[in-house]
Amino acid sequence: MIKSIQGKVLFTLVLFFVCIVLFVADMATGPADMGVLKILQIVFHRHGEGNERIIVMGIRIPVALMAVVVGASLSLAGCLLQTMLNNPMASPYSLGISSAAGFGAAITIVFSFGLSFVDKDIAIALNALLCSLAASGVVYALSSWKQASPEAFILIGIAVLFTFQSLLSAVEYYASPEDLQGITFWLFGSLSKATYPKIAIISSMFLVSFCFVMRNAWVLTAIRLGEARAEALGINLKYFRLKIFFVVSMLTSVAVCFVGIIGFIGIIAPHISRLIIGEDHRILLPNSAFLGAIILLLSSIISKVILPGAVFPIGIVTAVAGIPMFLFIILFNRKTRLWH
Amino acid sequence: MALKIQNLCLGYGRKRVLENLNVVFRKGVTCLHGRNGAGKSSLLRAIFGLVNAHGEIFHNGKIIDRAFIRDEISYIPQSAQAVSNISVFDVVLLGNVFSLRFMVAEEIKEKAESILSALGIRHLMHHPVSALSGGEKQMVFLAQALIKNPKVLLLDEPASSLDIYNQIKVMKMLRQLKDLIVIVAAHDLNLPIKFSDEIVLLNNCNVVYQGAPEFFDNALVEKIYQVKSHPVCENGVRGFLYTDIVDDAFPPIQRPFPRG
Repeated sequence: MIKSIQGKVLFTLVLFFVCIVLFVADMATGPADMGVLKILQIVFHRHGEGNERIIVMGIRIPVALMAVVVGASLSLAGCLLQTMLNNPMASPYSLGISSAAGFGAAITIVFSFGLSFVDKDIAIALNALLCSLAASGVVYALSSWKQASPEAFILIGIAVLFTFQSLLSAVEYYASPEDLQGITFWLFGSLSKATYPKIAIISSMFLVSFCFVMRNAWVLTAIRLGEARAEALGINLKYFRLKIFFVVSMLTSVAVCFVGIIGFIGIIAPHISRLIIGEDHRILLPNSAFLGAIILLLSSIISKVILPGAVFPIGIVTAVAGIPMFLFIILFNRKTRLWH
Repeated sequence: MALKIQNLCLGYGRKRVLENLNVVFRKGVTCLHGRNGAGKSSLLRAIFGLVNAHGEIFHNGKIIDRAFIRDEISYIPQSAQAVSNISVFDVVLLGNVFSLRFMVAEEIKEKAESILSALGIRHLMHHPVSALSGGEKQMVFLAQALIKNPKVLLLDEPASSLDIYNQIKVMKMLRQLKDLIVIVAAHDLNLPIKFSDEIVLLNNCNVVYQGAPEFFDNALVEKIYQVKSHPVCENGVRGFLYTDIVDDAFPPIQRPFPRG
Protein backbone atom coordinates (compact mmCIF):
# COMPACT_ATOMS: atom_id res chain seq x y z
CA MET A 1 0.00 0.00 0.00
CA ILE A 2 1.22 3.47 -0.82
CA LYS A 3 1.22 5.59 2.31
CA SER A 4 1.80 9.19 1.30
CA ILE A 5 -0.92 11.14 -0.43
CA GLN A 6 1.54 12.39 -3.05
CA GLY A 7 2.43 8.81 -3.91
CA LYS A 8 -1.22 7.91 -4.31
CA VAL A 9 -1.90 10.88 -6.58
CA LEU A 10 1.21 10.06 -8.60
CA PHE A 11 0.11 6.44 -9.00
CA THR A 12 -3.31 7.59 -10.20
CA LEU A 13 -1.66 9.89 -12.73
CA VAL A 14 0.48 6.97 -13.93
CA LEU A 15 -2.70 4.94 -14.43
CA PHE A 16 -4.16 7.83 -16.40
CA PHE A 17 -1.18 7.79 -18.79
CA VAL A 18 -1.29 4.00 -19.08
CA CYS A 19 -4.95 4.43 -19.95
CA ILE A 20 -4.09 6.84 -22.77
CA VAL A 21 -1.34 4.55 -24.12
CA LEU A 22 -3.68 1.54 -24.09
CA PHE A 23 -6.38 3.63 -25.72
CA VAL A 24 -4.07 4.33 -28.65
CA ALA A 25 -2.93 0.70 -28.71
CA ASP A 26 -6.53 -0.46 -28.80
CA MET A 27 -7.20 1.87 -31.74
CA ALA A 28 -4.22 0.39 -33.52
CA THR A 29 -5.26 -3.25 -33.20
CA GLY A 30 -7.79 -4.84 -35.48
CA PRO A 31 -8.22 -6.80 -38.69
CA ALA A 32 -7.28 -3.88 -40.96
CA ASP A 33 -3.55 -3.48 -40.45
CA MET A 34 -2.80 0.10 -39.50
CA GLY A 35 0.15 1.36 -37.47
CA VAL A 36 -0.09 3.71 -34.53
CA LEU A 37 1.38 6.56 -36.57
CA LYS A 38 -1.16 6.20 -39.31
CA ILE A 39 -3.99 6.14 -36.82
CA LEU A 40 -2.74 9.30 -35.15
CA GLN A 41 -2.35 10.96 -38.55
CA ILE A 42 -5.93 10.10 -39.43
CA VAL A 43 -7.23 11.38 -36.12
CA PHE A 44 -5.26 14.61 -35.89
CA HIS A 45 -4.53 15.59 -39.50
CA ARG A 46 -7.50 13.95 -41.15
CA HIS A 47 -5.18 12.23 -43.63
CA GLY A 48 -5.87 8.81 -45.03
CA GLU A 49 -8.03 7.15 -47.64
CA GLY A 50 -11.80 6.93 -47.29
CA ASN A 51 -11.98 3.39 -45.97
CA GLU A 52 -9.25 3.85 -43.41
CA ARG A 53 -10.88 6.99 -42.12
CA ILE A 54 -14.19 5.20 -41.78
CA ILE A 55 -12.57 2.30 -39.93
CA VAL A 56 -10.78 4.57 -37.49
CA MET A 57 -13.50 7.14 -36.88
CA GLY A 58 -16.45 4.77 -37.13
CA ILE A 59 -15.17 1.59 -35.49
CA ARG A 60 -11.83 1.86 -33.72
CA ILE A 61 -12.41 5.07 -31.77
CA PRO A 62 -15.96 4.20 -30.65
CA VAL A 63 -14.84 0.73 -29.51
CA ALA A 64 -11.90 2.14 -27.55
CA LEU A 65 -14.03 4.90 -26.03
CA MET A 66 -16.68 2.37 -25.13
CA ALA A 67 -14.06 0.23 -23.39
CA VAL A 68 -12.97 3.25 -21.34
CA VAL A 69 -16.42 4.42 -20.24
CA VAL A 70 -17.86 0.96 -19.62
CA GLY A 71 -14.76 -0.19 -17.73
CA ALA A 72 -14.75 2.95 -15.62
CA SER A 73 -18.50 2.76 -14.93
CA LEU A 74 -18.52 -0.89 -13.88
CA SER A 75 -15.43 -0.51 -11.76
CA LEU A 76 -16.74 2.62 -10.03
CA ALA A 77 -20.06 0.86 -9.39
CA GLY A 78 -18.25 -2.14 -7.90
CA CYS A 79 -16.08 0.03 -5.68
CA LEU A 80 -19.08 1.95 -4.36
CA LEU A 81 -21.05 -1.20 -3.70
CA GLN A 82 -18.21 -2.89 -1.82
CA THR A 83 -17.71 0.18 0.35
CA MET A 84 -21.33 0.76 1.10
CA LEU A 85 -22.09 -2.88 1.92
CA ASN A 86 -18.72 -3.38 3.62
CA ASN A 87 -18.42 -6.60 1.70
CA PRO A 88 -15.69 -7.71 -0.69
CA MET A 89 -18.05 -9.95 -2.64
CA ALA A 90 -20.50 -7.28 -3.65
CA SER A 91 -20.43 -6.40 -7.32
CA PRO A 92 -22.96 -4.79 -9.65
CA TYR A 93 -23.72 -8.28 -10.95
CA SER A 94 -24.29 -9.97 -7.63
CA LEU A 95 -27.34 -7.76 -7.06
CA GLY A 96 -29.15 -9.17 -10.08
CA ILE A 97 -28.84 -6.06 -12.25
CA SER A 98 -27.07 -7.83 -15.08
CA SER A 99 -29.23 -10.94 -15.17
CA ALA A 100 -32.25 -8.66 -15.41
CA ALA A 101 -30.62 -6.90 -18.36
CA GLY A 102 -30.00 -10.31 -19.96
CA PHE A 103 -33.65 -11.19 -19.49
CA GLY A 104 -34.70 -7.87 -21.08
CA ALA A 105 -32.47 -8.50 -24.08
CA ALA A 106 -33.74 -12.07 -24.42
CA ILE A 107 -37.44 -11.17 -24.48
CA THR A 108 -36.71 -8.58 -27.16
CA ILE A 109 -34.86 -11.10 -29.28
CA VAL A 110 -37.41 -13.90 -28.85
CA PHE A 111 -40.74 -12.08 -28.64
CA SER A 112 -39.76 -8.99 -30.68
CA PHE A 113 -40.85 -6.72 -27.83
CA GLY A 114 -41.08 -3.11 -28.95
CA LEU A 115 -39.65 -3.82 -32.38
CA SER A 116 -42.53 -2.06 -34.08
CA PHE A 117 -41.41 1.27 -32.64
CA VAL A 118 -37.64 1.25 -32.88
CA ASP A 119 -34.68 -0.46 -34.44
CA LYS A 120 -33.81 -3.92 -33.05
CA ASP A 121 -30.51 -2.80 -31.57
CA ILE A 122 -32.12 0.06 -29.67
CA ALA A 123 -35.08 -2.08 -28.62
CA ILE A 124 -32.73 -4.63 -27.05
CA ALA A 125 -30.85 -1.90 -25.17
CA LEU A 126 -34.06 -0.22 -24.03
CA ASN A 127 -35.63 -3.41 -22.76
CA ALA A 128 -32.40 -4.44 -21.06
CA LEU A 129 -32.28 -1.03 -19.41
CA LEU A 130 -35.91 -1.20 -18.31
CA CYS A 131 -35.52 -4.69 -16.88
CA SER A 132 -32.33 -3.88 -15.01
CA LEU A 133 -33.89 -0.72 -13.61
CA ALA A 134 -36.91 -2.79 -12.57
CA ALA A 135 -34.62 -5.29 -10.83
CA SER A 136 -32.80 -2.45 -9.06
CA GLY A 137 -36.17 -1.01 -8.13
CA VAL A 138 -37.21 -4.29 -6.54
CA VAL A 139 -33.97 -4.55 -4.55
CA TYR A 140 -34.25 -0.87 -3.60
CA ALA A 141 -37.90 -1.11 -2.56
CA LEU A 142 -37.47 -4.26 -0.50
CA SER A 143 -34.36 -2.95 1.22
CA SER A 144 -35.79 0.45 2.03
CA TRP A 145 -39.11 -1.02 3.13
CA LYS A 146 -37.49 -3.08 5.86
CA GLN A 147 -34.41 -0.85 6.27
CA ALA A 148 -32.23 -3.77 5.34
CA SER A 149 -28.82 -4.48 6.79
CA PRO A 150 -25.93 -4.93 4.31
CA GLU A 151 -26.28 -8.72 4.49
CA ALA A 152 -30.02 -8.55 3.78
CA PHE A 153 -29.27 -6.21 0.89
CA ILE A 154 -26.98 -8.77 -0.71
CA LEU A 155 -29.41 -11.62 -0.06
CA ILE A 156 -32.27 -9.67 -1.64
CA GLY A 157 -29.97 -9.01 -4.61
CA ILE A 158 -29.18 -12.72 -4.92
CA ALA A 159 -32.89 -13.57 -4.81
CA VAL A 160 -33.51 -11.12 -7.66
CA LEU A 161 -30.50 -12.54 -9.53
CA PHE A 162 -31.88 -16.08 -9.42
CA THR A 163 -35.38 -14.95 -10.31
CA PHE A 164 -34.22 -13.28 -13.51
CA GLN A 165 -31.84 -16.11 -14.32
CA SER A 166 -34.69 -18.61 -14.23
CA LEU A 167 -36.91 -16.28 -16.23
CA LEU A 168 -34.08 -16.02 -18.78
CA SER A 169 -33.86 -19.82 -18.92
CA ALA A 170 -37.62 -19.97 -19.47
CA VAL A 171 -37.34 -17.55 -22.39
CA GLU A 172 -34.46 -19.57 -23.79
CA TYR A 173 -36.61 -22.70 -23.57
CA TYR A 174 -39.15 -21.12 -25.93
CA ALA A 175 -36.56 -19.60 -28.27
CA SER A 176 -35.82 -20.83 -31.77
CA PRO A 177 -32.20 -21.91 -32.45
CA GLU A 178 -31.44 -18.62 -34.24
CA ASP A 179 -32.84 -16.55 -31.39
CA LEU A 180 -30.96 -18.69 -28.90
CA GLN A 181 -27.76 -17.83 -30.73
CA GLY A 182 -28.66 -14.16 -30.59
CA ILE A 183 -29.27 -14.34 -26.84
CA THR A 184 -26.01 -16.19 -26.23
CA PHE A 185 -24.05 -13.59 -28.19
CA TRP A 186 -25.67 -10.75 -26.32
CA LEU A 187 -24.85 -12.40 -23.00
CA PHE A 188 -21.18 -12.76 -24.03
CA GLY A 189 -20.83 -9.02 -24.03
CA SER A 190 -19.37 -7.05 -26.90
CA LEU A 191 -18.05 -3.57 -27.58
CA SER A 192 -18.39 -3.87 -31.34
CA LYS A 193 -21.77 -2.16 -31.53
CA ALA A 194 -20.38 1.02 -30.05
CA THR A 195 -21.67 4.30 -31.47
CA TYR A 196 -21.10 7.89 -30.41
CA PRO A 197 -24.62 8.47 -29.02
CA LYS A 198 -24.32 5.36 -26.82
CA ILE A 199 -20.94 6.55 -25.60
CA ALA A 200 -22.39 9.97 -24.86
CA ILE A 201 -25.17 8.44 -22.77
CA ILE A 202 -22.85 6.17 -20.75
CA SER A 203 -20.22 8.83 -20.23
CA SER A 204 -22.69 11.49 -19.11
CA MET A 205 -24.16 8.99 -16.65
CA PHE A 206 -20.64 8.25 -15.46
CA LEU A 207 -19.71 11.91 -15.07
CA VAL A 208 -22.83 12.81 -13.10
CA SER A 209 -22.34 9.81 -10.78
CA PHE A 210 -18.65 10.49 -10.42
CA CYS A 211 -19.21 14.10 -9.37
CA PHE A 212 -21.85 13.02 -6.86
CA VAL A 213 -19.72 10.34 -5.24
CA MET A 214 -16.61 12.50 -5.16
CA ARG A 215 -18.57 15.07 -3.17
CA ASN A 216 -19.31 12.30 -0.70
CA ALA A 217 -15.83 10.75 -0.75
CA TRP A 218 -15.19 11.43 2.95
CA VAL A 219 -18.48 9.89 3.98
CA LEU A 220 -17.63 6.77 1.99
CA THR A 221 -14.25 6.61 3.73
CA ALA A 222 -16.01 6.92 7.09
CA ILE A 223 -18.31 4.00 6.25
CA ARG A 224 -15.23 1.77 5.99
CA LEU A 225 -14.62 2.34 9.70
CA GLY A 226 -17.57 0.04 10.29
CA GLU A 227 -21.28 0.55 10.66
CA ALA A 228 -21.27 1.50 14.35
CA ARG A 229 -18.49 4.04 13.96
CA ALA A 230 -20.04 5.59 10.87
CA GLU A 231 -23.34 6.02 12.69
CA ALA A 232 -21.50 7.56 15.61
CA LEU A 233 -20.10 10.17 13.22
CA GLY A 234 -23.65 11.23 12.49
CA ILE A 235 -23.99 9.55 9.10
CA ASN A 236 -27.51 8.39 8.28
CA LEU A 237 -26.36 5.04 6.93
CA LYS A 238 -29.66 3.65 5.73
CA TYR A 239 -30.49 6.75 3.74
CA PHE A 240 -26.97 7.09 2.34
CA ARG A 241 -26.86 3.43 1.38
CA LEU A 242 -29.99 3.79 -0.71
CA LYS A 243 -28.61 6.90 -2.40
CA ILE A 244 -25.42 5.09 -3.33
CA PHE A 245 -27.37 2.06 -4.50
CA PHE A 246 -29.37 4.31 -6.81
CA VAL A 247 -26.14 5.62 -8.34
CA VAL A 248 -24.75 2.10 -8.69
CA SER A 249 -27.84 0.73 -10.37
CA MET A 250 -28.00 3.61 -12.85
CA LEU A 251 -24.29 3.26 -13.69
CA THR A 252 -24.54 -0.50 -14.18
CA SER A 253 -27.85 -0.57 -16.02
CA VAL A 254 -26.80 2.05 -18.54
CA ALA A 255 -23.44 0.37 -19.18
CA VAL A 256 -24.79 -3.18 -19.37
CA CYS A 257 -27.74 -2.43 -21.64
CA PHE A 258 -25.44 -1.36 -24.48
CA VAL A 259 -22.60 -3.85 -24.22
CA GLY A 260 -24.07 -6.97 -22.66
CA ILE A 261 -22.60 -8.74 -19.71
CA ILE A 262 -18.94 -8.00 -19.17
CA GLY A 263 -18.22 -9.65 -15.88
CA PHE A 264 -15.65 -9.37 -13.18
CA ILE A 265 -14.35 -5.84 -13.77
CA GLY A 266 -16.58 -4.60 -10.96
CA ILE A 267 -14.74 -6.90 -8.58
CA ILE A 268 -11.13 -7.03 -9.80
CA ALA A 269 -10.42 -3.36 -10.42
CA PRO A 270 -11.68 -1.99 -7.09
CA HIS A 271 -9.86 -4.77 -5.22
CA ILE A 272 -6.52 -3.98 -6.79
CA SER A 273 -7.03 -0.26 -6.25
CA ARG A 274 -7.95 -0.77 -2.62
CA LEU A 275 -4.82 -2.86 -2.08
CA ILE A 276 -2.59 -0.18 -3.51
CA ILE A 277 -4.34 3.03 -2.50
CA GLY A 278 -6.03 2.11 0.77
CA GLU A 279 -9.32 3.55 1.89
CA ASP A 280 -9.03 7.23 1.03
CA HIS A 281 -11.98 7.41 -1.36
CA ARG A 282 -10.93 10.77 -2.76
CA ILE A 283 -8.23 8.87 -4.60
CA LEU A 284 -9.60 5.34 -4.53
CA LEU A 285 -12.66 6.20 -6.63
CA PRO A 286 -10.86 7.80 -9.60
CA ASN A 287 -8.14 5.21 -9.27
CA SER A 288 -10.44 2.24 -9.59
CA ALA A 289 -12.28 3.93 -12.45
CA PHE A 290 -8.99 4.28 -14.36
CA LEU A 291 -8.03 0.72 -13.51
CA GLY A 292 -11.38 -0.56 -14.76
CA ALA A 293 -10.85 1.31 -18.02
CA ILE A 294 -7.34 -0.12 -18.31
CA ILE A 295 -8.49 -3.70 -17.74
CA LEU A 296 -11.28 -3.41 -20.29
CA LEU A 297 -8.93 -1.80 -22.85
CA LEU A 298 -6.46 -4.65 -22.33
CA SER A 299 -9.23 -7.20 -22.72
CA SER A 300 -10.40 -5.45 -25.85
CA ILE A 301 -6.89 -5.63 -27.32
CA ILE A 302 -6.58 -9.32 -26.41
CA SER A 303 -10.00 -10.11 -27.85
CA LYS A 304 -8.93 -8.61 -31.18
CA VAL A 305 -5.52 -10.29 -31.25
CA ILE A 306 -6.58 -13.77 -30.14
CA LEU A 307 -8.50 -14.65 -33.31
CA PRO A 308 -6.92 -13.01 -36.36
CA GLY A 309 -9.59 -11.41 -38.52
CA ALA A 310 -12.35 -11.71 -35.94
CA VAL A 311 -13.27 -10.33 -32.52
CA PHE A 312 -13.45 -12.81 -29.67
CA PRO A 313 -16.27 -11.98 -27.19
CA ILE A 314 -14.77 -9.56 -24.71
CA GLY A 315 -16.85 -10.79 -21.76
CA ILE A 316 -15.08 -14.15 -21.99
CA VAL A 317 -11.65 -12.51 -22.18
CA THR A 318 -12.21 -10.36 -19.08
CA ALA A 319 -13.32 -13.31 -17.02
CA VAL A 320 -10.70 -15.78 -18.25
CA ALA A 321 -7.81 -13.32 -18.00
CA GLY A 322 -9.14 -11.72 -14.85
CA ILE A 323 -9.76 -14.72 -12.67
CA PRO A 324 -6.13 -15.96 -12.37
CA MET A 325 -4.98 -12.42 -11.62
CA PHE A 326 -7.72 -12.05 -9.05
CA LEU A 327 -6.93 -15.36 -7.35
CA PHE A 328 -3.25 -14.47 -7.29
CA ILE A 329 -3.98 -11.22 -5.51
CA ILE A 330 -6.26 -12.83 -2.96
CA LEU A 331 -4.12 -15.86 -2.20
CA PHE A 332 -0.71 -14.21 -2.11
CA ASN A 333 -1.65 -11.09 -0.28
CA ARG A 334 -1.29 -11.81 3.40
CA LYS A 335 0.23 -8.56 4.51
CA THR A 336 -2.75 -6.29 4.34
CA ARG A 337 -6.11 -7.38 5.62
CA LEU A 338 -8.68 -5.29 3.89
CA TRP A 339 -11.95 -6.59 5.22
CA HIS A 340 -13.10 -7.48 8.70
CA MET B 1 -23.97 24.15 31.33
CA ALA B 2 -26.15 21.09 31.71
CA LEU B 3 -27.85 18.37 29.73
CA LYS B 4 -31.32 17.79 31.09
CA ILE B 5 -33.27 14.67 30.25
CA GLN B 6 -36.98 14.79 30.95
CA ASN B 7 -39.54 11.97 30.93
CA LEU B 8 -37.50 9.80 28.62
CA CYS B 9 -39.17 6.51 27.67
CA LEU B 10 -37.51 3.92 25.54
CA GLY B 11 -38.25 0.33 24.70
CA TYR B 12 -37.45 -2.36 22.18
CA GLY B 13 -40.61 -4.18 21.17
CA ARG B 14 -42.47 -4.94 24.36
CA LYS B 15 -39.44 -4.64 26.57
CA ARG B 16 -39.19 -1.35 28.44
CA VAL B 17 -35.62 -0.18 28.85
CA LEU B 18 -36.09 3.30 30.26
CA GLU B 19 -39.27 4.68 31.73
CA ASN B 20 -39.95 8.31 32.64
CA LEU B 21 -36.28 8.89 33.18
CA ASN B 22 -35.36 12.30 34.57
CA VAL B 23 -31.73 13.18 35.04
CA VAL B 24 -29.44 16.17 34.70
CA PHE B 25 -25.84 15.79 33.54
CA ARG B 26 -23.54 18.63 34.50
CA LYS B 27 -20.13 19.79 33.35
CA GLY B 28 -17.41 17.28 34.16
CA VAL B 29 -17.25 13.52 34.03
CA THR B 30 -20.40 11.58 34.91
CA CYS B 31 -20.16 7.83 35.09
CA LEU B 32 -23.21 5.82 34.15
CA HIS B 33 -23.53 2.52 35.96
CA GLY B 34 -25.96 -0.33 36.02
CA ARG B 35 -26.23 -3.99 35.30
CA ASN B 36 -26.16 -5.41 31.78
CA GLY B 37 -29.34 -4.36 30.05
CA ALA B 38 -30.04 -1.55 32.51
CA GLY B 39 -30.13 0.91 29.62
CA LYS B 40 -26.74 2.62 29.83
CA SER B 41 -25.95 2.23 26.14
CA SER B 42 -29.55 2.89 25.19
CA LEU B 43 -29.53 6.17 27.10
CA LEU B 44 -26.37 7.28 25.28
CA ARG B 45 -27.82 6.23 21.93
CA ALA B 46 -31.05 8.07 22.72
CA ILE B 47 -29.15 11.26 23.53
CA PHE B 48 -27.29 10.93 20.22
CA GLY B 49 -30.55 10.32 18.37
CA LEU B 50 -29.73 6.82 17.17
CA VAL B 51 -32.83 5.27 18.72
CA ASN B 52 -36.34 6.61 18.82
CA ALA B 53 -37.24 7.63 22.33
CA HIS B 54 -40.10 9.62 23.78
CA GLY B 55 -39.26 12.52 26.01
CA GLU B 56 -37.30 15.72 25.88
CA ILE B 57 -33.60 16.43 26.06
CA PHE B 58 -32.50 19.97 26.79
CA HIS B 59 -29.09 21.57 26.60
CA ASN B 60 -28.93 24.82 28.56
CA GLY B 61 -32.70 25.03 28.47
CA LYS B 62 -33.05 24.44 24.71
CA ILE B 63 -34.39 21.25 23.18
CA ILE B 64 -31.62 19.61 21.19
CA ASP B 65 -32.21 19.01 17.49
CA ARG B 66 -30.39 17.16 14.70
CA ALA B 67 -28.11 20.08 13.96
CA PHE B 68 -27.09 20.34 17.60
CA ILE B 69 -26.39 16.60 17.76
CA ARG B 70 -24.30 16.76 14.59
CA ASP B 71 -22.29 19.79 15.61
CA GLU B 72 -22.04 19.64 19.38
CA ILE B 73 -22.30 16.03 20.52
CA SER B 74 -19.63 13.39 20.00
CA TYR B 75 -20.38 9.74 20.61
CA ILE B 76 -17.87 6.90 20.82
CA PRO B 77 -19.62 3.53 20.53
CA GLN B 78 -18.55 0.44 22.41
CA SER B 79 -15.25 -0.67 20.95
CA ALA B 80 -16.35 -2.06 17.63
CA GLN B 81 -13.28 -3.54 15.98
CA ALA B 82 -11.85 -1.14 13.46
CA VAL B 83 -9.94 -3.23 10.97
CA SER B 84 -9.44 -0.73 8.28
CA ASN B 85 -6.44 0.60 6.45
CA ILE B 86 -7.43 4.19 7.04
CA SER B 87 -4.55 6.17 8.52
CA VAL B 88 -4.83 7.52 12.05
CA PHE B 89 -4.71 11.08 10.73
CA ASP B 90 -7.64 10.48 8.37
CA VAL B 91 -9.62 8.78 11.11
CA VAL B 92 -9.23 11.87 13.26
CA LEU B 93 -10.23 14.13 10.35
CA LEU B 94 -13.37 12.02 9.86
CA GLY B 95 -14.63 13.31 13.21
CA ASN B 96 -15.59 16.37 11.21
CA VAL B 97 -16.89 14.43 8.24
CA PHE B 98 -19.62 16.85 7.19
CA SER B 99 -17.40 19.90 7.05
CA LEU B 100 -14.56 18.20 5.19
CA ARG B 101 -14.01 19.40 1.65
CA PHE B 102 -12.15 17.55 -1.07
CA MET B 103 -8.97 19.40 -0.15
CA VAL B 104 -8.78 19.47 3.64
CA ALA B 105 -8.33 22.99 5.04
CA GLU B 106 -4.98 23.66 6.70
CA GLU B 107 -6.58 24.74 9.96
CA ILE B 108 -8.43 21.43 10.30
CA LYS B 109 -5.16 19.58 9.67
CA GLU B 110 -3.36 21.66 12.27
CA LYS B 111 -6.12 21.06 14.76
CA ALA B 112 -6.00 17.31 14.19
CA GLU B 113 -2.25 17.36 14.73
CA SER B 114 -2.53 19.37 17.92
CA ILE B 115 -5.15 17.01 19.34
CA LEU B 116 -3.00 14.02 18.45
CA SER B 117 -0.06 15.67 20.23
CA ALA B 118 -2.19 16.44 23.27
CA LEU B 119 -3.22 12.80 23.53
CA GLY B 120 0.38 11.68 23.01
CA ILE B 121 -0.18 9.73 19.80
CA ARG B 122 1.16 12.15 17.22
CA HIS B 123 3.91 9.68 16.26
CA LEU B 124 1.24 7.22 15.06
CA MET B 125 -0.25 9.74 12.63
CA HIS B 126 0.52 7.85 9.43
CA HIS B 127 -0.07 4.33 10.73
CA PRO B 128 -3.15 2.44 9.60
CA VAL B 129 -5.59 2.27 12.48
CA SER B 130 -5.82 -1.53 12.15
CA ALA B 131 -2.17 -1.84 13.21
CA LEU B 132 -2.66 -0.16 16.60
CA SER B 133 -3.18 -1.73 19.99
CA GLY B 134 -6.51 -1.47 21.78
CA GLY B 135 -5.38 1.41 23.98
CA GLU B 136 -3.98 3.36 21.05
CA LYS B 137 -7.18 2.81 19.05
CA GLN B 138 -9.26 4.16 21.92
CA MET B 139 -7.05 7.27 22.01
CA VAL B 140 -7.49 7.71 18.26
CA PHE B 141 -11.26 7.58 18.57
CA LEU B 142 -11.09 10.00 21.49
CA ALA B 143 -9.14 12.36 19.23
CA GLN B 144 -11.75 11.84 16.51
CA ALA B 145 -14.52 12.73 18.95
CA LEU B 146 -12.73 15.86 20.15
CA ILE B 147 -11.91 17.41 16.78
CA LYS B 148 -15.31 19.01 16.36
CA ASN B 149 -15.06 20.77 19.73
CA PRO B 150 -18.15 19.10 21.15
CA LYS B 151 -20.09 20.41 24.13
CA VAL B 152 -21.17 16.90 25.08
CA LEU B 153 -19.05 13.77 24.86
CA LEU B 154 -20.67 10.33 25.17
CA LEU B 155 -18.53 7.23 25.66
CA ASP B 156 -19.88 3.72 25.72
CA GLU B 157 -17.60 1.57 27.83
CA PRO B 158 -14.35 3.12 26.67
CA ALA B 159 -12.34 0.92 29.01
CA SER B 160 -13.93 -2.43 28.28
CA SER B 161 -11.05 -3.90 26.27
CA LEU B 162 -8.17 -2.04 27.88
CA ASP B 163 -5.57 -3.10 30.42
CA ILE B 164 -5.53 -1.28 33.77
CA TYR B 165 -2.76 1.13 32.67
CA ASN B 166 -4.77 2.24 29.65
CA GLN B 167 -8.01 2.34 31.63
CA ILE B 168 -6.46 4.84 34.03
CA LYS B 169 -4.95 6.76 31.14
CA VAL B 170 -8.30 7.15 29.40
CA MET B 171 -10.09 8.18 32.62
CA LYS B 172 -7.38 10.73 33.44
CA MET B 173 -7.61 12.12 29.93
CA LEU B 174 -11.37 12.53 30.27
CA ARG B 175 -10.89 14.27 33.62
CA GLN B 176 -8.63 16.83 32.00
CA LEU B 177 -11.21 17.91 29.40
CA LYS B 178 -12.46 21.31 30.42
CA ASP B 179 -15.90 22.82 29.82
CA LEU B 180 -17.41 19.63 28.55
CA ILE B 181 -20.22 17.38 29.67
CA VAL B 182 -18.68 13.92 29.58
CA ILE B 183 -20.95 10.90 30.08
CA VAL B 184 -19.24 7.55 30.38
CA ALA B 185 -21.04 4.21 30.53
CA ALA B 186 -18.85 1.96 32.63
CA HIS B 187 -18.75 -1.36 34.44
CA ASP B 188 -15.79 -0.94 36.70
CA LEU B 189 -16.67 0.87 39.92
CA ASN B 190 -13.26 1.66 41.32
CA LEU B 191 -11.81 3.98 38.70
CA PRO B 192 -14.98 6.10 38.40
CA ILE B 193 -14.91 6.72 42.15
CA LYS B 194 -11.53 8.32 41.78
CA PHE B 195 -11.86 9.98 38.38
CA SER B 196 -15.47 11.06 38.00
CA ASP B 197 -17.37 14.05 39.34
CA GLU B 198 -20.67 12.30 39.61
CA ILE B 199 -22.11 8.82 39.46
CA VAL B 200 -25.50 7.88 38.04
CA LEU B 201 -26.80 4.41 38.70
CA LEU B 202 -29.56 2.94 36.53
CA ASN B 203 -31.79 0.09 37.59
CA ASN B 204 -35.30 -1.05 36.68
CA CYS B 205 -35.69 1.49 33.88
CA ASN B 206 -34.80 4.45 36.05
CA VAL B 207 -32.16 6.32 38.02
CA VAL B 208 -31.67 4.90 41.50
CA TYR B 209 -28.68 6.98 42.53
CA GLN B 210 -27.19 10.23 41.44
CA GLY B 211 -24.54 11.92 43.42
CA ALA B 212 -20.92 12.45 44.23
CA PRO B 213 -18.72 9.36 44.09
CA GLU B 214 -17.81 9.81 47.76
CA PHE B 215 -21.32 8.89 48.82
CA PHE B 216 -21.66 5.87 46.55
CA ASP B 217 -21.69 3.17 49.18
CA ASN B 218 -21.20 -0.52 49.45
CA ALA B 219 -24.76 -1.36 50.42
CA LEU B 220 -26.02 0.07 47.14
CA VAL B 221 -23.52 -1.94 45.15
CA GLU B 222 -24.56 -5.13 46.92
CA LYS B 223 -28.24 -4.39 46.43
CA ILE B 224 -28.17 -3.43 42.77
CA TYR B 225 -25.54 -5.84 41.48
CA GLN B 226 -26.53 -8.72 43.80
CA VAL B 227 -22.92 -9.33 44.77
CA LYS B 228 -21.02 -9.59 47.99
CA SER B 229 -18.80 -6.57 48.11
CA HIS B 230 -16.33 -5.19 50.62
CA PRO B 231 -15.46 -1.53 50.89
CA VAL B 232 -11.75 -0.83 50.74
CA CYS B 233 -10.24 2.35 52.07
CA GLU B 234 -6.56 2.98 52.32
CA ASN B 235 -4.74 6.31 52.52
CA GLY B 236 -7.89 8.09 51.44
CA VAL B 237 -8.38 5.94 48.33
CA ARG B 238 -11.78 4.27 48.27
CA GLY B 239 -12.88 1.25 46.33
CA PHE B 240 -14.83 -1.97 46.29
CA LEU B 241 -13.65 -5.52 46.33
CA TYR B 242 -16.35 -7.79 44.99
CA THR B 243 -15.82 -11.40 45.84
CA ASP B 244 -18.96 -13.43 45.23
CA ILE B 245 -22.50 -13.26 43.96
CA VAL B 246 -25.47 -13.36 46.29
CA ASP B 247 -26.57 -16.97 46.36
CA ASP B 248 -30.27 -16.70 45.79
CA ALA B 249 -29.83 -14.31 42.88
CA PHE B 250 -28.66 -17.15 40.65
CA PRO B 251 -29.89 -20.62 41.58
CA PRO B 252 -27.34 -23.30 40.77
CA ILE B 253 -27.56 -24.44 37.16
CA GLN B 254 -29.09 -27.87 36.84
CA ARG B 255 -28.33 -30.13 33.96
CA PRO B 256 -31.49 -30.83 32.01
CA PHE B 257 -30.26 -34.33 31.22
CA PRO B 258 -27.94 -36.13 33.58
CA ARG B 259 -24.80 -37.41 31.94
CA GLY B 260 -24.33 -41.07 31.14
